[in-house]
Amino acid sequence: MKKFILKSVLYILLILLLLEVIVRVFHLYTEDPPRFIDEYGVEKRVPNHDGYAVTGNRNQNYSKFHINKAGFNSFREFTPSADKYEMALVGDSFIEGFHQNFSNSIGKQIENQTEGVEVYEYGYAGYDFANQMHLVHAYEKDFQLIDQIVLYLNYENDLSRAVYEPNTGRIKMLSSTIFKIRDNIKLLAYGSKIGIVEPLKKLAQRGVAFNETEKGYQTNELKDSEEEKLKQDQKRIANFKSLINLYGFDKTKTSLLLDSRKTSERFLDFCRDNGIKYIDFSSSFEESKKPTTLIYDHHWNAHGRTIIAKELANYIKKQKN
Amino acid sequence: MASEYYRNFSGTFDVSLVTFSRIFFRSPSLSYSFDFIRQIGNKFYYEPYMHPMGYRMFDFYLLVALFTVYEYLIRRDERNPFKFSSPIVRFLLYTLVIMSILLFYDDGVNRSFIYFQF
Repeated sequence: MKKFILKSVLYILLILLLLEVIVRVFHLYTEDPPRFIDEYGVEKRVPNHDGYAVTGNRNQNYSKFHINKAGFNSFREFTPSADKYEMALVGDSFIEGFHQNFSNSIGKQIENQTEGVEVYEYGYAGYDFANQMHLVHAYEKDFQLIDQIVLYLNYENDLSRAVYEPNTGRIKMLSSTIFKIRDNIKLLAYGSKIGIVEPLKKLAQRGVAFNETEKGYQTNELKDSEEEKLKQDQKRIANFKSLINLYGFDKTKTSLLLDSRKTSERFLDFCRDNGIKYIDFSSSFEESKKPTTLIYDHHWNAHGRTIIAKELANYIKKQKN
Repeated sequence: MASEYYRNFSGTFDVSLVTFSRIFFRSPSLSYSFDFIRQIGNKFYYEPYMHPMGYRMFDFYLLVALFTVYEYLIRRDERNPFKFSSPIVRFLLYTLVIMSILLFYDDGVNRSFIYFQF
């Protein structure tokens, strides 16, 4: 019996070891460059990191990233000056663009379609509107030199805060021992990415590996009444007002990039009434015959990103003229 | 040798027959299924099949090919799918099976946001 247990343990260890080798050789795991909060309270990546971001179980999307000296994934360094025409694209993981080679990013595509424009992509996974407004305010000197600022707004997720507070908890958590172990054991990183370790985690935390399915259908129920929607809109618009009052909003050169299908009409009315410009890419996405998002997540795929780049390039051409 | 050929032919025939009968089971009406059968013989055009969720189809074709070969290899004793005596081969096979489970695991949850945020 003792021999059997020992043999089984050895066998399992060897299998795990071989799986680790396979995951590393085929680069099935994704890399997430380290993050930090700088002296201005801006959360970003540690500069000068290169690697590959992977989506899907079987490397369905595999792209190279490069963190520049400013701490953002970009093909260029950010050197704004008064004698050049620059555009800043600020946003979350959609703008960070780990789903496309950095050498063919939205910014690069905009530069290819316009003349004499430098595009600075200030994208960071997890940024909401408060992060973005704080960033523009914190790097005021740079942004004063930048000619056009585009802020990507996901209306449903990005307006839950009225004031920016740096997320020190997340940075601490990501640099904790558990996360370091996860990042160093690539099999674990891969398992975590595809969700196969989720039942084990639940089992360890709550003693239940899988969710109760009996009441599962209720999670899909649409509960928002008109009254609740109004309340939500009012709160989001109030947060938006608070953020622009706190950090400033130069209407002459700042625009929002949004999808009107996912944005409340009340908020769009508010923007129109207050002279806040927005670029709506919903119709371009709707007209597209090919899918615009990835399969394994809802980020824009290469085609979706090309559409966004085209929208922004056309917008910038109009602004320049 | 002759019986081997007969078994292969018989297997292919059985599968073809079952596949053919599914035309009737999957059709909304009997006339539709006869229309479908008529078109098998006289309407040739190529249209790539897309996975309903948009997944890469090559992965699944590869899987079908591998399973077909495997099915053929264990045809004499299907109750003993890992009948390799070499411990190294068995070890590699077990690892391959676990790896395949990982490669095709899908719980339908969009995890990218969770992973990249934490």
